[in-house]
Formats: sequence, C-alpha cells, structure tokens
Amino acid sequence: MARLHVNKFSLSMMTKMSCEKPMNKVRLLFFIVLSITLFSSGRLYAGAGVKPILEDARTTLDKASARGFEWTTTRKLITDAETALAAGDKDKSLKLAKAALNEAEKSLIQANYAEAHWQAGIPL
Amino acid sequence: MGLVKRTLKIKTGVILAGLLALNCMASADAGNEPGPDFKAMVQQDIKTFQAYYKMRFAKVEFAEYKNGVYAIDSASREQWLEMEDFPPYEFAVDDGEALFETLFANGKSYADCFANGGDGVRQNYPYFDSKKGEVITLELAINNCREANGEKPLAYKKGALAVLSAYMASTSTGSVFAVSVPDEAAYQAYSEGKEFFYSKRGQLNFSCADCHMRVAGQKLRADITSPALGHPTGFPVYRAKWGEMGTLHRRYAGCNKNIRAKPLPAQGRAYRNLEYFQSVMSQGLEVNGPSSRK
Repeated sequence: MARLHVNKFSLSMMTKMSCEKPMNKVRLLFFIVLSITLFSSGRLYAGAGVKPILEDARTTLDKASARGFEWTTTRKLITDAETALAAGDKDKSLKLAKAALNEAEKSLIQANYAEAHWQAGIPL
Repeated sequence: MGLVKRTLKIKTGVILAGLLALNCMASADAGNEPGPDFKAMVQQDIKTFQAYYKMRFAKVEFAEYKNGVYAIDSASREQWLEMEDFPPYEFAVDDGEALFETLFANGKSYADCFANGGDGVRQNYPYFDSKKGEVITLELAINNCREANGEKPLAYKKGALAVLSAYMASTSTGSVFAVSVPDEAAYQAYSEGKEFFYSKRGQLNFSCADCHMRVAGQKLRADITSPALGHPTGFPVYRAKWGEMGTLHRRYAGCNKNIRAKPLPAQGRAYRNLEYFQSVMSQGLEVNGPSSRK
C-alpha cells in the first residue's frame, strides 16, 4: 500500500512538472551566468582566504615565540604557503596556511599550559 | 539630646581610634614577619633533585655524575675512557691559554677582569649579579671583559669563546661547584630556570626533565640520555658530532632543535637562568671541564 502511495505521489509530481512552461532562453542564460559567477567567486574567495589565515598564523606564532615556545616547523609552513600563493597554487597555499595556523595555535596553547602546569612535570 | 549626641560622637571616635591603632599594630607586625626562606627552599630542591638520581641509579656514586652519560652507561664509558687517553680538547685548552694571555689593544688582559687573575674560578659561575639583576655565566663574563676593554664580543656557541672558556675551566679542575642563590632576585632567576627545565616545549612536547630525568639512561633512538645532574660540570666540551668545541648553550640549542623547538639565543636570559638552575642542582660536584662527549 505504501509503495502504491509513493507511486501515486511521484506520478502527480511528474504531471505537475510536465505542465510547467519550458525554461525560456533568458532564464537559461541567467542560470548559466549565475553558476559561473558563483563558481568564480568561490575560487576568488579561496585565494583571498589565504592571506587572513597567514596573517593570523604569523600573529599567533609571534605570540608563542615571544614566550620561547616557537616550533621549528611553523615558520617554514608560512614561507611555503606564501611561495605557493605567489606561484598561483591557491589550494596548496590554503592547505599550508591552515597547517601553519594550526601549529601556531598549538604552540601558544603549549606556552599557556606550561605557564600554568609546569610543576606537574616534576617527577619527584 | 545634645549630650546624647556628643556621647555618641565620642564613643564612635574612640572606637575608630582603637581600630586604627589595631590596624597599625597589625601592619607593623606583618612587616616584622620573616619572608620566605629562599635558601632553605633551594636547599630542599637540591636535596630532592639529587635524591631522585640516587633512587634511579642506586649504584652510581654521586661524584660520578660529573661525567654525564658515562656515569650511568658502562659501554659508552669504556669508549669514552679510551678517548680520554688522547683528549680531543687538549688543543683547545692550549689555544684558549694563548688567547687568554694575549693582551687587548689597551694593554690589559682577561686576567684583569677576573678574581684571582681568572685562575681557578669556573666553579663560581654562573652567579647572580644583584646590581645588574641578572645571571652572569663565565662566557658572558668573558665577553663583558672584552667589551669593557674596547674589544668586540665573541660568538657564544663555539670558536674562540669556547676555547677561552675551556682553558679557564681547565684551571679549576677538581674545584667543587659553589653556585648559590643569595636573595629574592636571584631566587626569581633560579625559578625561571627551573620553570624552563620542567616545561614541555617543541612539536614533540618534551621538557628537559622528560629526557634527562624521567628517561635518563634509556635510549632515544640510538642515544642514551644523560642525567641532568652534573650537566654543566664538564662544559665546554669537544663533541664528536660537532667535531669541535662547543659551549653549554650550544648544547641547549641542539637539545631544543631535537624536540623541534626553536632554539633561544645563546646567553639570552632564558638559557642563562636554565644554566643557573642546573648549576645549583649540581652543587657539590667537581668541575671537570673541558671534557669530551659523543
């Protein structure tokens, strides 16, 4: 019975759709242009998104560094992200920038944790 | 009514005066209270630190800790003793002596800057300079001496400074480390060094204590980690890995790199305070620098 109901519903939908007016040329063009615009703006956003992430990574790393907790790997990730961005490889740049920010944040967390809990490291 | 009001005023005045007097007495009493006993706190730290190694390596004599990892690993010790037949740091001591005796452009020498002409003073370094409010290591004192005499400072990790330090250490062989924490400001520097020693850092999230206390004597890759007790006694060292002499701060930087932490500046405040803490913990051990390490 349930199946029958579904079939009935599908049929009714198909009937409704077939009754609609066919998409005219203007509409079609509008949707094509809209799709292209959305796609390109997404690409643009990906490129524009790298710089704030890199800036954030640099600022966070500088904070960790000032407290003596910079990791040896983070600044290289930032440099590599900048190089990739300059070479036009936005995907790679974004990936590296995110990794740099992740490391910078972890090193700052490490500094905060050490400040609050260093005595827990005394094995006595 | 007037009389009642006046009586009330007088009573209030008396109470206020009483409270004020009590407050003053309490403040005066607080002023007379003795502050924290820094020396006792440091002595307690030394006692527990050294007891830890006594517990970990019950068969190792205290005096042996001046030899680093060779105190606790017999196989490495044999190789090291063979190497000591022809010590690789001997030339460095000779070079250091020659440099030490070379006069500055103004006609003065290193001997003019140090107590006892710089002979047999290694065990007194590092010390806390209360006037400057900072820890003075032997290497910093050497460069301070140069600058005070119009000479350019030397690089801190290796080269001329390492050999000068090696020569000065050689004149103190057998002297017992006598690094103290005399006052509150010194205790602050000592505490910063202590905090550094026990703080995890780097991408590997290791502290000095993790490698040189918890797993001292065990293997990290192909190396056996040395006990932190006695770390500063043998420096500067000729290290086979370097193929030359290097200072303690060069080694600190190497350790930090190993755990993927960016090394801090040699003779910067952090490393000097760390050296201060480590030297205080090594109280009672003999100076045996320069020496050789793997």
